[in-house]
Amino acid sequence: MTPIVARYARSKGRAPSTPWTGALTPLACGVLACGVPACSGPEVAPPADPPVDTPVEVAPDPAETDLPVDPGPTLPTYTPLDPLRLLVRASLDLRGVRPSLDEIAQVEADPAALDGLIERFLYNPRFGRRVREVFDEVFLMRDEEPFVSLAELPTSWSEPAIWEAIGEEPTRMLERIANEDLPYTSFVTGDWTMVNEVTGSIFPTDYPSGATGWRVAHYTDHRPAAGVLVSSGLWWQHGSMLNNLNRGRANQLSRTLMCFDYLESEIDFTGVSALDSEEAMGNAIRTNPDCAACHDSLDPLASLLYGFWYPSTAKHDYMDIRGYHPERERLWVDLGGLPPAFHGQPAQNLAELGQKIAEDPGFARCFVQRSWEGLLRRKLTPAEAPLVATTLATFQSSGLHIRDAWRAIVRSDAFRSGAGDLAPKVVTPAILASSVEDLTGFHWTEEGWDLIRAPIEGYAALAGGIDGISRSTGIIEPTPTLVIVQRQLAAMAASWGAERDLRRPQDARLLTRVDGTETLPEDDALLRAQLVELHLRIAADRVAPDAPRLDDELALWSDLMASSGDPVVAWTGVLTVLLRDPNIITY
Amino acid sequence: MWARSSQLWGCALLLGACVEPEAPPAEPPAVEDSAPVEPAETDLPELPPELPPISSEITQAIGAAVRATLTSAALVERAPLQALLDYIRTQRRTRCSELAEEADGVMVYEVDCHDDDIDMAGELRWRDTAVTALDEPSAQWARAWLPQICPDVDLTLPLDPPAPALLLLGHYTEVDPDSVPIHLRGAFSDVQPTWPGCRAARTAADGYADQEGASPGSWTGSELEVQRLEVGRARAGEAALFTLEGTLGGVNGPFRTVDVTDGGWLAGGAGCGLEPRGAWGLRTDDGAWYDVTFDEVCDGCGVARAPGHADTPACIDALDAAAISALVQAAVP
Repeated sequence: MTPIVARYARSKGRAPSTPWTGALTPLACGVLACGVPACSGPEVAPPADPPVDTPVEVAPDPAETDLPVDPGPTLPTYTPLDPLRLLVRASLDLRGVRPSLDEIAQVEADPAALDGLIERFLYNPRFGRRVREVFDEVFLMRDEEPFVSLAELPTSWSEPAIWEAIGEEPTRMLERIANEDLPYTSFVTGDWTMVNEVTGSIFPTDYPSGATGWRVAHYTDHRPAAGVLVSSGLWWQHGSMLNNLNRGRANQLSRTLMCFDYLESEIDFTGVSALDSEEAMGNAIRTNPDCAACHDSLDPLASLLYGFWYPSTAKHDYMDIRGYHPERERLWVDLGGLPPAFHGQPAQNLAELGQKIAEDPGFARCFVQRSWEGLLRRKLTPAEAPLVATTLATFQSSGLHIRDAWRAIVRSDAFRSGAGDLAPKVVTPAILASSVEDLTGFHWTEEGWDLIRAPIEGYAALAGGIDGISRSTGIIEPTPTLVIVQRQLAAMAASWGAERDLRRPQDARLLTRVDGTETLPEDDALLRAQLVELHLRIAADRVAPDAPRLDDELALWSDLMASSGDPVVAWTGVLTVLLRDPNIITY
Repeated sequence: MWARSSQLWGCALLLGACVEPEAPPAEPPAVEDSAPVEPAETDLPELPPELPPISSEITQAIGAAVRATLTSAALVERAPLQALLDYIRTQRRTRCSELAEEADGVMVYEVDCHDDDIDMAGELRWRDTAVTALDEPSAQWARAWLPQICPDVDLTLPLDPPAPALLLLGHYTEVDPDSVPIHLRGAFSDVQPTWPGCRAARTAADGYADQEGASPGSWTGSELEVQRLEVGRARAGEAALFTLEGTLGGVNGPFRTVDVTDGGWLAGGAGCGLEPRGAWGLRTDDGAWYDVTFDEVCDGCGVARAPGHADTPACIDALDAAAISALVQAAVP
């Protein structure tokens, strides 16, 4: 009798029936996993119904079926965005910043230059950051308070710095994968992680002492090589209560990596009295077909996560949560779990789970789907299902390089749509923050918190950010709260930018033609030239020097100069107006 | 090989309904005709691939693993924890903490003290007393194991004399520049009954006890992580019994994590002296588990199993067995 089977049998009050090598399959099929009147085989099939949040169905590969090929839905007709708007969209989505004046000039001179610029954007150092930011809204890592207590961590770093470092570990891994053209499978199979000086002082890794910045590092506590699946940041952020038995964590993996969210499955509780007691609940999830339909596949995944199991008394205990616990890997036996598996295939540790996830076609498909949703900032419609299939084909043929998948998306007509319900898009808090910072140098923080991106201490939810708590989906049109955030940001960024540009003209970002000594009417032409340039740079609007709106802006500038005598005040007023442009929050 | 493999595949591929195979399928019938017959592709099920045995590197390390596991488990005992508890309640309670007594003699020590010099946090509950009857887990252990070494003990009688017992639960962290950092968390219980001609001890622990600077040869100085561990000791004359149940991490041997069910070793006396008891799960640092089940034949051998491998015989050699017996004799006072 092997330990695992013997202990499992003991916990269940029945004798194991087969030795280890054969145990999992017969047990899973005959006793443990089916839980339904008819046993359909050893594999625990994923729920047959498509997930609620997954409207996209990829047509089956014709080579794998004898069924007639379904031509599938017909894609909608997209109205192309004009080249300058498309330049802005591509620049914001691939770099998080607005196009430079030179890039705008190139496209205005020759719209065909756009494709070359997009290709450059794909290789911009900010590209990986944009991948990270899109998937921050999938993993919901930055946006929730960590499960563990930060108070007892042996570090003097501030709370915002710790939050950020812990919360970004998984998506920093994606950023590296994107920037270095590593195969996406390394996200779940790699033996490395990403750590900065904060987590370098907390996590058990080989991060060099005294180093700074995000670096590749390796855990030194013998945890399996399984990429994000063994990220301390991930499991510090997503804990598990004692009676949840890692199921929430398992669903986190399923939702983020496989695009199947168990919590969005429809469950018929009619006639189920499982809520009467803990024991009744435990019985129901094994014996009630409606319950078992999910738990038969969810619970085996949960059983793989016990190396990160923290006793309820220990989640505030750094000594306990610091490292991986191989001695807890088999705790599922004592706690009534199901044998570890992924989609019915036994897996004895997280490294095997990572391999199985990497081999599952749904893994790459989910990445493509999430990328589409992140870049369009909306769900795909049923008619757009072929978009995922064609991008997936490109992704797979490239060796699962993120850059190639995103290139395919950005080159698509759907991405370039410029009219109707499918456009324009609304900025994410991340894009709003980075684009305004690039324009003005202003980063809105308070006591270390990034006020645009932090949901609790800041205004991310007001700005349309997804935190999984107050907002679970992105906004598809500007909201009053987003405009309020934009207005406040515009005023503060304008003040910062005007002062910065006029005090340090050698580093000027926006006010590149003036130096604060200008007067009217003497410098009318110069001021108009500056305003034309500002419109282009801030909103990608080509405005004629004699346009009436410039008259209004000059009048504002003149009034402020007259009342304050301070060019910083005058330009702050003008920049505030420009940074309130609707094109700042839609693109 | 075929028999075991067919069990694995029987449910998965061969059977329409999910039934557990009762016996290996019969060998294909012999062909009477001497002429070779090409079977139709659909007539015979596809044979599963032959599984490789577990490497000799693994099987030959099993004796060392058992020895290292017992060495580590022997560290999990009352004395170092008792010393830590005594230190905390006598030296630290006056600083900034509260001590109260609850029903049944349970003491509660609440700690929350953070200043420039000292940082203490946690809550400890303990009962340090003598009992005249075993608690149920200890009684279960005694009923299961003691008859093998102390057959004349009547477990239904009250303990005479009463047995010293310690129960400890909670967590305690202390960082004090004037002292060594202490870190306790989890649950611990220890009962040490004696009967005429026989004495025993059963220790249960879950968590860790760490005192910076303590000897690596002690529990508080080692890197041991114990998970639902139960250690039993019993002695009757020359015979010494050491039992083990639960999981140990940080074992200083070829497998750092070991999971044991019904494990034990009987040294001296009329026992086998060579055969370990129980089932041992051994984890490699890359996360693979090997399960070794020892049979009841007195040969030091069992069967090692791992996914993707054929069942493979594994034995503890005589040198390891002798070392383990000596270890058990030393670990059971």
